[in-house]
Amino acid sequence: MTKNAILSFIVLLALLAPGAAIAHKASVYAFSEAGKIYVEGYFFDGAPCRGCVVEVRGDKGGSVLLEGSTDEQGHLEFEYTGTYPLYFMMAAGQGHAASFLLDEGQEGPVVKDLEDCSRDMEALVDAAVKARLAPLRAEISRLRAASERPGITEIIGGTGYIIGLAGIWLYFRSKKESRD
Amino acid sequence: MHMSEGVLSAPVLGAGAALTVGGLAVGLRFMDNRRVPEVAVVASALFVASLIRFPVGPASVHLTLNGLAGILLGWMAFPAVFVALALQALLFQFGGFTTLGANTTVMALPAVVASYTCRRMLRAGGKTLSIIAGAIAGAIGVAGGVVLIALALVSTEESFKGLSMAFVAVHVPVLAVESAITAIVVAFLWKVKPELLGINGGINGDKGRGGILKSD
Repeated sequence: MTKNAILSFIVLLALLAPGAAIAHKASVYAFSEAGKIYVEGYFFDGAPCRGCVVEVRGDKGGSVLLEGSTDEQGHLEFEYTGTYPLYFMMAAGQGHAASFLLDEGQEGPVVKDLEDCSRDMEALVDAAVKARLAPLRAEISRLRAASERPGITEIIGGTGYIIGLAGIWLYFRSKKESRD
Repeated sequence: MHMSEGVLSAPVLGAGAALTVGGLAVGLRFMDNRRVPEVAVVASALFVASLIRFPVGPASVHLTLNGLAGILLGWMAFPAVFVALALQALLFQFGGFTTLGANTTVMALPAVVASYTCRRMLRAGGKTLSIIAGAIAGAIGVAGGVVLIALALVSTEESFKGLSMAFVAVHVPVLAVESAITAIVVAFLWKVKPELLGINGGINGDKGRGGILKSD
């Protein structure tokens, strides 16, 4: 009897463990804008990854081209006019790592006349906002899809609920019978 | 088979709720302690079944498995369906709480009809008849559910007729698939554990499940 109880407890703990891992999963994304690269690292619960070392390579197995660490807001930026694609790898402590592949970059602004400048300003701002929003949009649509679809967690939860309800029902029934 | 809140009119919801209460009363009367685990397992299956959706044209539909639930549980399909739908409303916001009565009736009533139709067939015959009985149960389950929903929609508002027709059309493939699946499952159970189908006794046999009304 005690052995069963201990085993059940261990199984229960094991089932709860993955939740903690997911909470600390880290994510890094980067985009380039006008000759600079902006890197942002954060954890899945939204907190920024402070002081996390970011390595920039040409591809997954290549040598490190650049290295830096994120600031208090989880950001890192640097000038870059080299080649693409770039592979970013961020170490988030406790063995967690995140990676991101940036396919192509955006070149720096070209100096123009004042008249053209205001028109170009709008275009530049537009492009910059789009660039910043694109990864966020992708993330949002992915999150929304995931949240709307009932996953395996919900299925197991619901089944457990049903088993629990059956157990409670039987418990009260048997109490009633033992009383009669 | 999951009408959301705010679609059906109050009288329809009321009728559904009343029928469900009645069905639950009968079902719970037959559900003694030994049968509770069986009901729980079927409720879990019903709970999961509605989550597996496949696209048909513009809409997406799901299996109901109420024919199978009817064959296995008879009147106890009411508590099983009720619990499955209540949990879906609670955990996934699927369907709704005001519509719980109507949704339960729509799924469970055809299940009971299927059980009365098919359990006798199962008692009577051999393997081929078991397959046919399974297919019929599956068909009654889906067709009954779809017809009841169409009825509920049209009773709410005449203009829902087009929507009802579309609903019926979209569920034709579901009818085919579910008849096949129910037939396969019933044939399998017939071979492997006929007690579940009421053949050779089983937990209180046919009482309350629509088989031959003799206690075993």
